Amino acid sequence: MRKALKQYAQVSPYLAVGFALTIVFVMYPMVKGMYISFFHYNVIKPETSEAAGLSNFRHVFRDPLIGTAFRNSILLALVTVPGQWVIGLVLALLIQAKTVRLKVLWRLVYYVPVISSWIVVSYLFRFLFADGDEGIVNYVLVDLLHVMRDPVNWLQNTWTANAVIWIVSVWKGVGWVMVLYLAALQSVPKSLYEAAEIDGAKPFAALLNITLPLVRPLTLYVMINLINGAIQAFIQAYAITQGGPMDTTQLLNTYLYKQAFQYFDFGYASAISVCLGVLIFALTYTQQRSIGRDRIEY
Amino acid sequence: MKFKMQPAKGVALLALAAAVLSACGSNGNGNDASSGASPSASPSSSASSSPSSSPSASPSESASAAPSDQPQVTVEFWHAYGEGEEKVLLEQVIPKFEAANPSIKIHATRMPTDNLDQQVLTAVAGGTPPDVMRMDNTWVSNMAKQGALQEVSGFPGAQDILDNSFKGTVDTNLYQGKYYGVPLDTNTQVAIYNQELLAKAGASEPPKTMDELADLARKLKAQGKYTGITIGGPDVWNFSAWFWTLGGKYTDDAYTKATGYLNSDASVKALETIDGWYKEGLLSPPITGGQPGTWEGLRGDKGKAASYMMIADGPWFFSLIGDAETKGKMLPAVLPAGPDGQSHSVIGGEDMVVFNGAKQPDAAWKFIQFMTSTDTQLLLAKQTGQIPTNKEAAQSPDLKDVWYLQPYIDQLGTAYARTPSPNANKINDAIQKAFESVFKNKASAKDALDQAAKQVDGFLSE
Amino acid sequence: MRKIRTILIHLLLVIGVAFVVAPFVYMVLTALTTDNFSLPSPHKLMTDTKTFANFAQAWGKNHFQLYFLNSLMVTLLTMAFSLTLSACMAYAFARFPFPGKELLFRVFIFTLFVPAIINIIPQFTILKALHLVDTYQGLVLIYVGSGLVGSTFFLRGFFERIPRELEESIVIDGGGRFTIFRKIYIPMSLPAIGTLAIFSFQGTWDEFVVALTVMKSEAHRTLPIALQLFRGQYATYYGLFFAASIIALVPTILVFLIFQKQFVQANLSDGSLKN
Repeated sequence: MRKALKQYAQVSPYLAVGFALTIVFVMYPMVKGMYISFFHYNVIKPETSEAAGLSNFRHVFRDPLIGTAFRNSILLALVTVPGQWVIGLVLALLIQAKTVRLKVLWRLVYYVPVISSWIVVSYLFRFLFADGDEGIVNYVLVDLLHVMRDPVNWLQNTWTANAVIWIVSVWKGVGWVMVLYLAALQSVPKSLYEAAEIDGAKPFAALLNITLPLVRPLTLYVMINLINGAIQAFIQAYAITQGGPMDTTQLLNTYLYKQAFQYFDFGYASAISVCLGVLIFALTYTQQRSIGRDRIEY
Repeated sequence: MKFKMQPAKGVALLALAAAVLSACGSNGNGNDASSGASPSASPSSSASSSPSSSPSASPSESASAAPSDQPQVTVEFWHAYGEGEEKVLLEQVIPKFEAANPSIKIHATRMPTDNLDQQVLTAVAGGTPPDVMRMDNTWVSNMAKQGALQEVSGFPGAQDILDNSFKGTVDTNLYQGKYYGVPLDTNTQVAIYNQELLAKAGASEPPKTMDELADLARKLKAQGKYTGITIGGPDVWNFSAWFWTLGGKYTDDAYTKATGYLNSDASVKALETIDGWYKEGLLSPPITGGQPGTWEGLRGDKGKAASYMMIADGPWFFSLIGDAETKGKMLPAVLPAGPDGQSHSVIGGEDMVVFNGAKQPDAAWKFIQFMTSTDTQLLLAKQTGQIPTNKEAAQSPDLKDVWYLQPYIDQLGTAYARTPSPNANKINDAIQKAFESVFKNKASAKDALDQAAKQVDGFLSE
Repeated sequence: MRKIRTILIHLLLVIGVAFVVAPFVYMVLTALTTDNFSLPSPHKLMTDTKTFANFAQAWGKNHFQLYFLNSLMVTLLTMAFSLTLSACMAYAFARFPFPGKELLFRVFIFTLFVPAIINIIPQFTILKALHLVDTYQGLVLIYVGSGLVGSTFFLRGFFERIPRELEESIVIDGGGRFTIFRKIYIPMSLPAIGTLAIFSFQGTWDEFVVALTVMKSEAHRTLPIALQLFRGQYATYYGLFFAASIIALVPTILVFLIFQKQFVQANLSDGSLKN
């Protein structure tokens, strides 16, 4: 007990401020959200809110649009997380190759999408994928490359519209993954590769057996952030499709936003949020022990 | 003056950053640093001790500080005017008001239109609303229900403003039989024709009825890649005029019930008529969100000929593009008539509302009275093409100066408001989805409207 | 054989760049044309005359320059606080034993997975209680507070890779924990901190909703709000909008160029790893 107190005393100078800020601006709003989810909540006059019991949660399971939004969010994660990871890693490996020149330039160019504004990029893609021969993408595919006979109405069909959202997400995130792996690859001791080369290992085997295990903690970080990005995805859907056609491209987050700020139904929006949190908690429960415990061993 | 303070503040904050840095360090330096001495220079504590520059705090301070018998008060005014309108507001309207009311200062803030709903809600929920806002009239009822707005009957002369405004625009302020705002400006959609294409279709003047319009569209279609009818989308703002004119209805006149109205035979027939045009290829791509956009299709785009004979849009089409590109080329006209011999467009526009928690409700109200007065409404109409809600201003011969405005004023005479309800957003979404599902061949007009009517009934009774 | 491989690698990189750059080419071309209420068609882009008028106009409109400076200040402050606090926190999690550490860390990570979009109202209420509405302090606080978990997570991994043996020399010299932190952990993790600096900058620079919510006075607004103001109530001049956003991109690119050097320096030399 005393030991614990002493340990807290030692660590608190480093932890206290950041901990307090996280409590105030992250934890408190979350807990408040859980509380709100049990009410028909009126944000302007909270004291007039009626208790809702579990009705918001029952609504979550009955609302057909939740199914659509949930499906889209899951698909977004399934497509964009591996998509960004694989392409980003490959790019990092390519740029890292000994014979590649102008490394700084490649890195910068691939990173520009990451640093450009989400809003701007989303509008940009909305128009790139405009239908008919108005859109550049159709123009290139139909008139220049002749790979399609007719222009596609990208944003007017559920799956092509979803695909556009996925494409923007991958396009914008690849550079981020690349930069992190470039940094990590720098720190992999060259001697290890040399040893592998002497053993006659193929490059791909070296990647699997040496590189990836060495950067495992980074991979975990990248994965968690990519999943986080997929869950928090908002602007790309909000600006490109507004959830349309017919709400078939709503993501959980855009649907939440709509419930909260357009329908003013904060209780329901919070309930959706809580359900998602519980689901993710359950899904990752078995993995949680490894987070933070995963150490690099040379 | 105000702006020059910022770098100083920035330096202070940087110093603060350094303080935290060193606090983090000095406390950690000794291993036995007590937790009680944890960084006291945390940004929150020291920042809050510096003077807040919140604007909502300043008016009351200055009010109590000013010794004269006419205390200076500042009214916070939010609007989402475009750039051109904002210029008129700041350079002509507000100076005029402040000259007439030397004790009141108007502090106008232009808000971006994206996320505006969230902005308003957060400001009110956080207890920092502006005093007065120019608010989209479809929001008023819901904001009133949330308790965000003050009922206007307590203010002097409120009834006069309401009496002197068009009824359709007054109704948008209703919530449970009371008014929570007054109309400021209105707009509607009229038909705008590309005169060249109109002639190409063989007409010398705009069609009088929907059937004539459809015939012209057919003739035009026979001549190539042209479309004669453009509906901006399946949303209620763009679609309602066509649905209503062709005989459709959303609810009863008291806005209490949709079943029997939204899914009546006349409504189904209206939707089927439009869907028939669509399947026939008479409708331009925007109905399902396609390109080119309405304006580009109507005007053509550099290097690309115009392909839409007509669109329906608000007066901003003319004010934003300018006379040089529109006068003599684009012709505004009342929408073609439907079975009842009239056309029924959709009423849009903004209301002026006073927030609950406003610091200066009375001064704000004076500003509202000024904004809704005949003179101001005329000024705004002439400078920006904004249509007056004030009947007197709307009938003024001065409006003839704005060449494109008359069809709009005529159209407003038979226009309808979108369902005023705290659930307006949900209702409009449900209706839009019904329309959309028909164009996407997901449902028959009858089934789609039956289902929507049931949903809307629920929203209306909530 | 080797040559072919090199050419192949470069070819792949060039193809990738084409995908990355093409949308920007379109964006720049659009910014160079005028009179766009929607984005121009391919045909128009190729035939229309090009002008820099939009850039000049954007720079002069909507308080663009003021908001630019405001954004720069807010972003740099956020970056400074974020890096400092998350480095401290990461050090705490990496090198201090205390009861409940892993549990606390897991709870932190968990918060990353819950949609944060409606947190804005409670966050705003807190700022109000602290009398920080419409202040830069308030805005920076929210930015720093909501980003700490991610950066701490990132840095902790790096700190833990640093061999503890390195601490010994400091301990022998009589240095305390903080000296170890400052002389070993910070310098050894500069690549990670540089990377975080870039992440923090770009995340803050682009933020719109919180900034607009917190900042009530027009004079206090930040750049993304100016960008939004280029989108009008009824119609948007996209040439202007994109010209403005291209200008807004410049500082982030600069920051990237400044800090990217950190990416190159191997953070741990072979020697220190060989034990």
